[in-house]
Amino acid sequence: MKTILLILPFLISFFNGLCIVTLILGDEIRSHKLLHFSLAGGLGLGLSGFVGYFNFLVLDRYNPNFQITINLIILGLAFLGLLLSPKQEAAAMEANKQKWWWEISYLALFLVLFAPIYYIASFYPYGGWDSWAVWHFKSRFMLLSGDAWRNMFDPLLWRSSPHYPLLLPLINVWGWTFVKEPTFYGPMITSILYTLLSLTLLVSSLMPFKKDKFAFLGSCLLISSPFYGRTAISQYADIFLGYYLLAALVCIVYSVLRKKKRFALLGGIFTGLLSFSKPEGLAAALIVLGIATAYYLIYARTSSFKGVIPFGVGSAMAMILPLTFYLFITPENMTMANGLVSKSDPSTWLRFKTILAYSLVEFLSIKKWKGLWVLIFILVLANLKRCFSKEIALIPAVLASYGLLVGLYYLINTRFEILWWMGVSLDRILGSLIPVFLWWVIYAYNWKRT
Amino acid sequence: MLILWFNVSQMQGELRTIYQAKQVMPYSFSGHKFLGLEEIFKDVAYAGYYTDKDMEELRNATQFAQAQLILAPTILDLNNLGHEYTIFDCSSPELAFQKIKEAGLKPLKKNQFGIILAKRKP
Repeated sequence: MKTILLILPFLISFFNGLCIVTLILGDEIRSHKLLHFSLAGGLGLGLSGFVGYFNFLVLDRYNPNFQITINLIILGLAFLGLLLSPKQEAAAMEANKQKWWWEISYLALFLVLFAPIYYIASFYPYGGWDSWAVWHFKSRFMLLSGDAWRNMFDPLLWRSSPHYPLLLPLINVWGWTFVKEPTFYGPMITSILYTLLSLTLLVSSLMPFKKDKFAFLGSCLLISSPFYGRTAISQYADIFLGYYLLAALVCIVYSVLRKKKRFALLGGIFTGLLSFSKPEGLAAALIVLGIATAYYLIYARTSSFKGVIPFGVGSAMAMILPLTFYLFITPENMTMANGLVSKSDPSTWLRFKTILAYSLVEFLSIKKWKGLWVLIFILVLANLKRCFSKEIALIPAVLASYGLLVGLYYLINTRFEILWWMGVSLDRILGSLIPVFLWWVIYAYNWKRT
Repeated sequence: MLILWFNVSQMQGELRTIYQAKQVMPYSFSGHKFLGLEEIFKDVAYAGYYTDKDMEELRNATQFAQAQLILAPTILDLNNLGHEYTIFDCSSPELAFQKIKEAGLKPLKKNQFGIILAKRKP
């Protein structure tokens, strides 16, 4: 019974996401079941996280009945909308049957590949450092503190990064809603689920371009990598962030490739969810927002497709709640020391050189990555022209800007000793970007020619 | 394929290590040393956490973080003896009791892991 109660919130969110993605994308998504599943899981859970945040804003405490009611109302409305929307023709459904088998096979294979991850995760049920100190801790705090939830922003808790956004803890709290206690299974399920969704999204979004087999191989490289597996087990927010970044970019690129405004709208919504995932997620979301807007505007000059308005509407809708957090609730970042103005800890030339050297060592680290980054760079170099072609130029632009911003933050924020700081964070930042890098190089590479 | 082979062989090693570790203990988490205190801390917003151990050391910092997790929403104030309740996690019970006496506190509980809970005298 407890297992059912534990899974129930995830199922409600999943069906919520399924209905909303179908409503937004219509026939565009009905024939791509695995892509539908991959987008629906992240959208539904993200939406439930938003409902949880709205709950705290309105009632100033966590109220499970409020949370359940709003989620069910959304589900009911979305389902009603779905009943009233036009159906796909039977002939088209028949044509897609063969593809479904591939999709089901991928999902089944992924579930088998996740068995070792689950086994290791069961030995670390509370995850790793950032889970105890930040994500899991905030989730427990929000569930159990009643109307004292704002104590979580107390400067005494500086080790828990009080300024961090709350989407992941809110999803964890939603996961505990029916069992009414903070069991470690909730965050564990969330973490493993987002890892699975990232990989199925990577494979399924490359299926229409007939590159899913290479994407599956890339996913196997990721899931078999002890480092990536450990990140999933640790219940950190990095894979969570990586999922939303990949989902946003895939939807934006799809909107241009297929000239469908509906994908632009969904891309905007995922960008909004990305902004509430982590401080780096906010930075990535602002970069995506800026570059995607420019991308749509430049594209509109040579094509009749205009995606900027639906993208803007989607982003605005999904960014309202995160903005209220960043403007009115989040406390000051206590782990920031501006090295540009600080006399005691200035940003130095040595720090700059250390950042460059450490980054190079990290990319080449055989122990962690086993040559995966080298392979990615070789694939980029082997197909430079297509990697930077107009249709997907958005992706390298976002990745380069994000990398530059992370580098600048390392340089300017002198609060921590740089080698220690990069040692505990750079690999996770890179890990969160790998699915996007893989999508980019696999999409761009001309496999037939090879 | 080479990367996949490297990954799989490292994963095998990791699975073996976890299997061996599981024979000794079902899971890894030292926060369970503080279980039971959350019942006493039900309406306590802040509590002290006194330790003479080096908090720069990963093991000690981990234990503090895990205690904070298990006892949330009570906020643990490191090495502040001014709260109504204080948890003592010292390198020896003698040292902890001496500190409790010096601070004018009353010991309430001690568990098998050497964690002592003390309360301010009325």
